[in-house]
Amino acid sequence: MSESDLENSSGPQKENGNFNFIDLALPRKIVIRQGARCVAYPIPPIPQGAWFQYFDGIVSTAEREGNQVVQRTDASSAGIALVHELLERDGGSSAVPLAHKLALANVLTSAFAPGIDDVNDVPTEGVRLHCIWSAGDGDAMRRYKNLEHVFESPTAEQNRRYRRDDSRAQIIGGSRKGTTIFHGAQRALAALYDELIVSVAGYAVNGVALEGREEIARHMDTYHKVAAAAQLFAPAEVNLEEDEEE
Amino acid sequence: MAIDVTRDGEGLRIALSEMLERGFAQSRISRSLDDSDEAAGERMFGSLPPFTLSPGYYKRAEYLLWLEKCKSTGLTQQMVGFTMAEADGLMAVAEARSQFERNHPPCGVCGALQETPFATSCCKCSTEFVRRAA
Repeated sequence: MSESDLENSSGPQKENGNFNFIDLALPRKIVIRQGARCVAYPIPPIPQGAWFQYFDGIVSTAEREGNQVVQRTDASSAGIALVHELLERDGGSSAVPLAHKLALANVLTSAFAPGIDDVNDVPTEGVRLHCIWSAGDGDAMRRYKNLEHVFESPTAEQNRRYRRDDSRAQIIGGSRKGTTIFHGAQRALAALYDELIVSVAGYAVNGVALEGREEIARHMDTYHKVAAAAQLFAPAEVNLEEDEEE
Repeated sequence: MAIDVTRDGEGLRIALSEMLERGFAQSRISRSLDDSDEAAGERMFGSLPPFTLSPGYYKRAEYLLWLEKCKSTGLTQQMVGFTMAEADGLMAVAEARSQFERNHPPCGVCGALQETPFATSCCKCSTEFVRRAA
């Protein structure tokens, strides 16, 4: 697939405005700056099982402090564990500094759905993601914008599966003063993505644009699946105009 | 020992009752806010009935109230594979709602929910309530 073919598809682009796409079959090269030099880490495509281990390791808690609810989320330990496992496969992670592991985890989990103000103004029926994926021919990491995921509308049953899993929790330390630990609904979101995805733009496999529900479900990065599918169940942004400060 | 919120029927019933009571208080305050200033509104919302349980109970309770609404509109016919925990949760909703309706009986004339079961006249249309001897 040539870049000119892909330029005709709507949406995805690099931060500098030139077209680009993510090739899901190729290893990523994540480059981290260390003083005056750069260190490059090759990261192979991450299997779904490794992502599920990562999601299971995220600690999301809430507790009551007076009239306030204090929520905390710690994904850093899960991120370090994920990076550790990926680097172990590639010959060991013991020599990799903790700061690099944290930076790698940040890149691997960088996909997010931008707010309205931050979306390139192209009409879309789908969900848009921005992310940092890989360095190109040089050693500079690039931000990819407006990666598009178009879904069918979820049925009432699919909505229920998401809400049911999202409301699962355990309480540690007693029902009144205890801490709630939420289990998260990432597995449900990944499954719902596979059921509902119609098309994507900005992704390829071995240079060929990713098309068709089965192929998309097979190849899409699970973190991107979860980040995109979560937007199906997120409230839309209200059109709010702030008062100007006096 | 960890408590699985989905299986703690009594905790869910308490959370559901507190949510129904808070919703009732909120709607009452919202109606009277038109005549109040912003500070008064903040004071009034600050006096809402408190939530007393760990936050996880209320998230599950929200889900169960949504499921109850789906049930009442027939949407649950599209849903399959209800778990025992969901069935127990819907029972907890029914119990909490029944208790709420006993605490806030509707006016026989205008249908407005009363603040207590012992009101002598309707809080909305001022109809006098006649108590019959048991």
